[in-house]
Amino acid sequence: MRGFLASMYVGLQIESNWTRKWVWVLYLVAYPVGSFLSVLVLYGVFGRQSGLLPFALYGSVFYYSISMVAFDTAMSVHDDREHYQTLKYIFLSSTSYGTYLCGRAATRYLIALAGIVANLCWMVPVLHLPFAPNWAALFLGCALGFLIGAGLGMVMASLFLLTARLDTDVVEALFGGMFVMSGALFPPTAFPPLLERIAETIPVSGFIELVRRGISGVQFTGFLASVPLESLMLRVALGAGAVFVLGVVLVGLGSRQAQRKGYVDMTTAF
Amino acid sequence: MKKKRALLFLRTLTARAYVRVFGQMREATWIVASILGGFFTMATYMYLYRSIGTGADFTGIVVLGGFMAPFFANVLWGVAMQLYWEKEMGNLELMLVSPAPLSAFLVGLSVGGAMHTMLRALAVLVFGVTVFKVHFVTVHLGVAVLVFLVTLWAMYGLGIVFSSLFLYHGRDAWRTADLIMEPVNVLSGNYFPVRYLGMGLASVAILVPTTLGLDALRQLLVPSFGPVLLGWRVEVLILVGLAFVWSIVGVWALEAVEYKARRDARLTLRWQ
Amino acid sequence: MAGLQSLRATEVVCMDNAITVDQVTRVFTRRGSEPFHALRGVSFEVPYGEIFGLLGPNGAGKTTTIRILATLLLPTSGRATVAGLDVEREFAAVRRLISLVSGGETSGYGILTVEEQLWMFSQFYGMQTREARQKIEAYLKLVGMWDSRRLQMNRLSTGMRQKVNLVRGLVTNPRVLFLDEPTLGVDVEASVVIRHIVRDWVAAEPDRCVILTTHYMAEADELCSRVAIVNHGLVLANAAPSQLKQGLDAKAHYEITLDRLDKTRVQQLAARTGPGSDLTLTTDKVTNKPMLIAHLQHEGDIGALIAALSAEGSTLEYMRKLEPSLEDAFLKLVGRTFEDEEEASSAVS
Repeated sequence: MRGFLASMYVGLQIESNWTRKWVWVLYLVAYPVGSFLSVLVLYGVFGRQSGLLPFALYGSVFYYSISMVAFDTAMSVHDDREHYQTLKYIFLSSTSYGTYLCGRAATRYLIALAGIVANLCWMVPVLHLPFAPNWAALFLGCALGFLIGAGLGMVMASLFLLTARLDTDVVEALFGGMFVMSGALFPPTAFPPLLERIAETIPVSGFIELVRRGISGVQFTGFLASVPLESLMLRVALGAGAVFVLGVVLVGLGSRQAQRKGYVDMTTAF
Repeated sequence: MKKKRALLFLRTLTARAYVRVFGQMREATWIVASILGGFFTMATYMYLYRSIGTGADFTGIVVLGGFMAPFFANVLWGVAMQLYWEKEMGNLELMLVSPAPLSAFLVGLSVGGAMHTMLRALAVLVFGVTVFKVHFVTVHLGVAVLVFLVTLWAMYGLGIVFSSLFLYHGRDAWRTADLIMEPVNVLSGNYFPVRYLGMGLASVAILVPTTLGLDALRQLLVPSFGPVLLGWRVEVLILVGLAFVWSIVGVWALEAVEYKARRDARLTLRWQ
Repeated sequence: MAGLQSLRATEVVCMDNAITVDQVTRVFTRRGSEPFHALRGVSFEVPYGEIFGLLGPNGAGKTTTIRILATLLLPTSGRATVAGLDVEREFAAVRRLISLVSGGETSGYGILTVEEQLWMFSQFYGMQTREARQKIEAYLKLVGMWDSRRLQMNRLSTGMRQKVNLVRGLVTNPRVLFLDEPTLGVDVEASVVIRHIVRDWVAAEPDRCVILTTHYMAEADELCSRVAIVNHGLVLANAAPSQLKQGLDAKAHYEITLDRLDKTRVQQLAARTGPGSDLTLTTDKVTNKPMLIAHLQHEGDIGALIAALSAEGSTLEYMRKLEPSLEDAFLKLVGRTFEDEEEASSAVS
């Protein structure tokens, strides 16, 4: 627990101590705007008739929360190894690397959620977004979002432990694939049936649908429409648990492999 | 003397580009990843626009947006941020102690980075044409390639301007780059004709070379494209001007920041 | 005309000192904290052909001096030149003539091989590839790393990496080579190789010069023709190591291990040795036998001491003359040892 809290603190310092506190708070609020600015323009201007603006806005802001956590958690491997050169010391400490990454992920997730809440405070009234929260579903969804984000972060971290610093294309491609299938920006009902089935089964799309329904009380599209909220919660919980466990297992394997190959303190810039 | 200086510039450029290109080759997974990344980018755009119901005409201009987007990302993360990373790695002081100008390193990085990014950008184009059946008119292909190259020149010139700022400001600038990345993509018309933003915003957006570059490329390759910002010939002229301006400002800014950083002891200040 | 000018510049360069530092100060300011005076009016000159040492504890101002001379930092006041060129105004010209090798540096790109890394840096100095490859081969062979030329940089040990760094510094044939703690963290074998090469490199051409910072006294003693002892941003002494040591005192110091000696007899022995002699009896840590530390007024007094010991019935088993070290010089100038000074500095900061 001590290691987890310490890594949360480290994460907070890395995220925030580059500037003054008030600038950082502004940054925290402004940063998620990038994730939905294009949605606002595309669905607000070109796709007004589709009526999918609330669907895509909610989808993109919550996708942002887990993608940030996953990506930043994974990137912390290269940052700690090559920039701050502390990875070897983390490995030497009595805290497992998985616990450390979870601490970093937790900070990132809380920061991302804070930014989302701040933005929803103006988006809901200004853009007339449907807002009828089912708090239980929303809170559970947010908790499961952490498990998914941290789990995916650890899956990618296990890869980053074995790759060069600038070699982020693989992870970007994985994110690209996840983004397409997540149903964050458009309903996966647009896919051919096989792809739609795949989209239904991935935990990220379930999570986004869960928090979307949890906050708006609306079923916007036909995607996962036949799945009642309770079943969706159970489904996402199982998926999130599986992703998290997979992350823990893979990061353990990745750590051992990195130690075996002597990658823990290598520098790989080019 | 001038010849010697030019040779030094070229040798430095080549050496730095070599590192970027061949360093990447040692971790060859990037090839598959770039192609897959290109495919997913394309798929996202296609399904998104189908959901919006913008029609087939729009897909061509979006593919070109997807083609250019990786270059802007490379300008920010592969070039502008690089001097900051070189400092963090302890390379910057060795670069500065050498007689080579910093701009030579950055141009080398730009060349190496552009070659690396090209694969992903081409993957977007190829998937757009083959899988998603996007149609381009290739009558002005040669001119389009020239427009693309001028756009790259102007973009990487802007990257050199950014790099001087990032070198001095460290993590503040890194965070700022992260913050502006997506808004700049929107502002420069990656996802739609920039003219829709109105002339006021668009005239600010033209400072980012992708704005005019994309608009001109779309005019040349997608005949039904509209509304246009300016005629493509005018846009190319402005782009050439931007390329010169950003390159000159970039070199000047590098020298100014180097002096300021020497004075304020920031050239070797790590973990800033 | 331009060619003539550059020729003249070269002539001027050859006639000047390699380095002049004149009343240089450097103040670091940080928001919310007191200004830190890293250099408080440092002056020295270094002619070509010399290995000049800057010796002092951590935070003394050695690295700040090197950074100013290597054009990475501007002085707050004062003037410094390298090969007659002002480091502030003519920094571009200075950079054509210098190279910098720092200890413990992890510079370069981990994913490149040794050979590629060295080639890359040679290009930053505008060298032709063929010439660069020849020099890289020669120097890699010299440091015993030719067989490791295809190893990636991130696979090298600290000592190997430092040898590569030294080669990087030499390949471009600088006039002035700055070595900032070049053997920091390096094992004995690699340190010996590095010192040996540096000494030979300077001796090979008359217009070369090395500025070395170190806080290894023995290294400065072994390599440097002159040493400036720096502390708290001031040059406390600037002379050849032998001169610095000679200036300490005129006494002769000996360590004598004996089979036996009655401790009550030490004062009488001192009196019989000569006026001003000071004897202390201790125990040899290795043999556990009595050991006499003798501080004699004159070197010749040793004969009287040996005779007196013999008269006492003690057999001399081992004797060593203690030479004063640079550490003693530092101790005398500063009043504290290196370690004490570093501890005091870190306590203050």
